[in-house]
Amino acid sequence: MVETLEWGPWGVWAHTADGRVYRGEQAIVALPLGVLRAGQVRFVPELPPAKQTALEQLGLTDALKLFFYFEQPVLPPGIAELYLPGARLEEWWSSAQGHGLRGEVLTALATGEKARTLLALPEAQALQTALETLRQALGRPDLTPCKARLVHWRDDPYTLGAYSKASVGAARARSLLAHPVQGRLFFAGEHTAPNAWAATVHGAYASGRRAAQEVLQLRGPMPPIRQRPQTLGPAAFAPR
Amino acid sequence: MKTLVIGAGIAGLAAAQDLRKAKQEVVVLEARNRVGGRIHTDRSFAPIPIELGAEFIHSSQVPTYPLAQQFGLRTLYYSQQEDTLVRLSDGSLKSVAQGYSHTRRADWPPALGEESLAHYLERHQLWDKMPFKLQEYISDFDDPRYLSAQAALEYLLDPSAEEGDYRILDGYD
Ligand SMILES: Cc1cc2nc3c(=O)[nH]c(=O)nc-3n(C[C@H](O)[C@H](O)[C@H](O)COP(=O)(O)OP(=O)(O)OC[C@H]3O[C@@H](n4cnc5c(N)ncnc54)[C@H](O)[C@@H]3O)c2cc1C
Ligand SMILES: Cc1cc2nc3c(=O)[nH]c(=O)nc-3n(C[C@H](O)[C@H](O)[C@H](O)COP(=O)(O)OP(=O)(O)OC[C@H]3O[C@@H](n4cnc5c(N)ncnc54)[C@H](O)[C@@H]3O)c2cc1C
Repeated sequence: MVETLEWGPWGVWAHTADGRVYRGEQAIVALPLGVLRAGQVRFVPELPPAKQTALEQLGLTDALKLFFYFEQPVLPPGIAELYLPGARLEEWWSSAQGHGLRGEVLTALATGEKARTLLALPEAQALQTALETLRQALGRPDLTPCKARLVHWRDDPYTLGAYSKASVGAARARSLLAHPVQGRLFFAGEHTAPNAWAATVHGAYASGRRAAQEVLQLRGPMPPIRQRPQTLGPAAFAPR
Repeated sequence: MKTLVIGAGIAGLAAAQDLRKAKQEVVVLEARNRVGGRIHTDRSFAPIPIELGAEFIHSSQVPTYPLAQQFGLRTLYYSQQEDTLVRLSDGSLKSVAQGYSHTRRADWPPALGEESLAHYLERHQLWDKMPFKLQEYISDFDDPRYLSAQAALEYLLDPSAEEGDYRILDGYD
């Protein structure tokens, strides 16, 4: 795990939790927004103020996925998704179609306030709440899964939030976060994608390719590397 | 020339791959004992894989779609039209094809500065003219009072918002 990124005109040093140091002429920071916002990786020196403001402005969506495995079919024939506006669980879809499974695996997604409400409940109760929503929507009070599971990314230490959201005031935050810093730090990740593609796999993928191009363009013929100041020795970042 | 790539999610891996193709030296540093980050397929829950993170490729208009084709991955198309039921206010279920306008309005007026999506929809009385993809955007992110109208429009006017989704049958990983 990278704990500290020390950077300057001389390049970038990555200090890991196990006390190792990796040296590069530049770094592409492809860490999640949640990890950057929480300061899980320390930048020395700190990122410019414009980046820090953008990190604060861009929102993070809390998202919760619930999975239900049924031994019998659940959705009417030809139906793959169910959308219940205003319900405690709005989005439902089949994750089993195309597999020729006799039963059904349904996935439900909750975000924002709805996700937080469900996350405040014990897991079994959250799953039960979701099941009641489904039973009511389909008019099938008997529906009972043989297995259920709940997953979220809010507390995962290497994610700390599902994905970025463009909150009011943050229409430009993602493009600010994508900008390289002094030709040494480059940025990738879903939160650096254009608004139309952010919070997706294709947005993250394209952002990585963009960052690689930025590195290649800037570093065509290598600029001379300046001496790294002696005062910032790796000893200052020894593992705790 | 050596580049450090911090994080081996899809973004870091895509960056590392391009740098390697350009014959650059790359070191990828990842905290977990797996790559993929928020792409995480589980094969223990059911006889078929489930996706704890990303699940769909959002339309054939995005670069991960040809990538899946190139690797010969089996995908299933979710049109989000005839195959998607929506509950209407009277409790009845109708398909999106019947319940929502499919064609997106070519004339979505521009947003005013940094207004919220709720404010924007109110101002133009567009609440009941929302295409399904905007409804889905709201469900995927947050209450429209907290979302930027400008950013939502940028999504809505992108070709990727004009189609349904593809699911990779054998797992996103
Ligand atoms: C529930 C959910 C559902 C989703 N559904 C979809 C969908 O259907 N379709 C879609 O396109 N997108 C979906 N997404 C979004 C998609 O998963 C992400 O946008 C994308 O995977 C992000 O990729 P990334 O490379 O930017 O970040 P990540 O995949 O998070 O990669 C970042 C990497 O950095 C690592 N890391 C973190 N901290 C450190 C550290 N200190 N040192 C070293 N490494 C570190 C992490 O372990 C991780 O591997 C979904 C996301 C979630 C959470
Ligand atoms: C320059 C370099 C730095 C590395 N740094 C780390 C590290 O910080 N932490 C760690 O756990 N492992 C690191 N490794 C990986 C480690 O040395 C082994 O390669 C790894 O355990 C995989 O072994 P393998 O036999 O499966 O694949 P290999 O045959 O070693 O690798 C297959 C290909 O992938 C490349 N590769 C593998 N891992 C990496 C990586 N992390 N970054 C860039 N290219 C890679 C190799 O150069 C090779 O071209 C590094 C590898 C290289 C080449």
